[in-house]
Amino acid sequence: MKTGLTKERSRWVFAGVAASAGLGVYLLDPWFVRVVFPFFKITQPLGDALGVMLAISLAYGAERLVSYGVYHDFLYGLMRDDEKLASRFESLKTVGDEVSKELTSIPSFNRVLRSQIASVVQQTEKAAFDIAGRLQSIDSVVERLNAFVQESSQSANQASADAESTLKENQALIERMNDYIRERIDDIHKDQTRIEQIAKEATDLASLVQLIRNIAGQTNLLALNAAIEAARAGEAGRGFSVVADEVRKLSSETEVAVSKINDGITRVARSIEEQFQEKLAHSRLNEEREALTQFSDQLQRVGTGYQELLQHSVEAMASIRESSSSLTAMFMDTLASVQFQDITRQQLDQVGNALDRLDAHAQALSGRLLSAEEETYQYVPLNAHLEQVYGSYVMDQQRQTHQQVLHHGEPPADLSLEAPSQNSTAKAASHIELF
Amino acid sequence: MKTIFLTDDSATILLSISNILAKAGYAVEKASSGEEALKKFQSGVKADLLITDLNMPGMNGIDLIREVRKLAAYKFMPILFLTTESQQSRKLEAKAAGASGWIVKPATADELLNTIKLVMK
Repeated sequence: MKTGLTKERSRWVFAGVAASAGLGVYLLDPWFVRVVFPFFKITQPLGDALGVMLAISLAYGAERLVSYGVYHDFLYGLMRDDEKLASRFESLKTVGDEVSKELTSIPSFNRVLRSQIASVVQQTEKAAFDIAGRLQSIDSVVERLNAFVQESSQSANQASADAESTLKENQALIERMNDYIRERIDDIHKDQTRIEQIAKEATDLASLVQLIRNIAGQTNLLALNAAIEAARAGEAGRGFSVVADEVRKLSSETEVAVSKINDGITRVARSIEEQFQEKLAHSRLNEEREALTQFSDQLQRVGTGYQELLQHSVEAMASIRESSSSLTAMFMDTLASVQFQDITRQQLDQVGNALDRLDAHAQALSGRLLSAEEETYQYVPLNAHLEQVYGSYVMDQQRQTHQQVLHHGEPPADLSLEAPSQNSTAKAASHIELF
Repeated sequence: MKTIFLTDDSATILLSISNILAKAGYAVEKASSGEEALKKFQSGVKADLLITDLNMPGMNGIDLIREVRKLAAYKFMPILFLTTESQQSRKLEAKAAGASGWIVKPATADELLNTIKLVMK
């Protein structure tokens, strides 16, 4: 290609120079014959021969000048190319040596990477083991909490039953006290009725006293008449007069006695009423009843409050038990998720194996660079290593990632380590198989 | 109480899975390699189910169950694989060696316990 280009350039230079030479001879020939021939005292055909020699020399010089000035001289170009190639060869050799040296350093570099990976595996293994251990400790605490809740729940239930029983007993006691007060009020009412009856009967005695008084008055009147009749009878009526006088005295004494009886009855009736009123005043049954009602209400409220408190406690215990069950389920799932470490470890082991292959390949390439002239030098191509790496995978995710990168140039979007059941039922079904 | 024998080269897996099994009410025997597990089986350890990993240094899970099946006491014991591997060819190999089921890691506690119940029926 370069040679063809150089030839074409030479042709164009030749054509240009030949055309210029022809044009120069055509334009200068009359002047050359007329001026130069006489000046140097030469004649034709010597002058023409000299002119042709001059023209060819000028044309050759011009061709070299143009070649050098415009396209460089062909030989000059070849020399320059040769120098460049030699320089490039030297550079390539230097680079080859450098690359070979670098390639031999790749195993050292990979050793560092492998150490880092091993360190990551070790740390994650330790961390995962610690997590599993701590989860076990947490579970022990939850177990103790469960036992405590169970025990407390039983105590709360027992206390609730006891409180209910006590409340019922208190209600029965208050009911009995109410009955007692009601009986006492009934008794008082009965006493009041009886007292009123007695007072009424005592008052009624006053009419008997009036009757006796009337009888005494009529007796006195009769005695007076008898005394008059006795006086009229004279001596014969003397004895009768004494009797009549005694009857009249008796009547007067009866009157006095009746008055005393009346006063006594009145005093007795008043005394009974006064004593009954005083008894009523001292009994304060209504106040007692009101106080008892308040006490009963208070006791009822305390009992209800205590029952609500116990109920709340029972509900709280149930809620704690439920949370505890959830915690247990979470504990089991979290323990199961620690499996990620084993998966990661195996994937990193595969990366370590791939790095081993890369070491071998780098050594082979380094040897190839140093043995450039050795045509029989052979090494395993990287594609073959890649296929062998693919064949050594232990899980589908590795194969998917490999295929994805080779076919699309990037890893798959979903590299989640979650259990398949947490992603989809279909996937869950596929990762468990019973034979 | 049923006894489950667990074999895995990962200490973390042994700890976490054995905790789950113990929590579910099973007694657990453990081994961290195929060789250790086989020794225990040869000495007549009580086991109602074997759960084993597939890829372990030294004796792998399939070699282990081949040897265990040779022991009369464990001829009909259910065996589950719990492994990261999901290649069909390995499953068929395990089935031919006498495995009862295959669980790919990671599995949830429910999945693990439900599968155990199914194979122990």
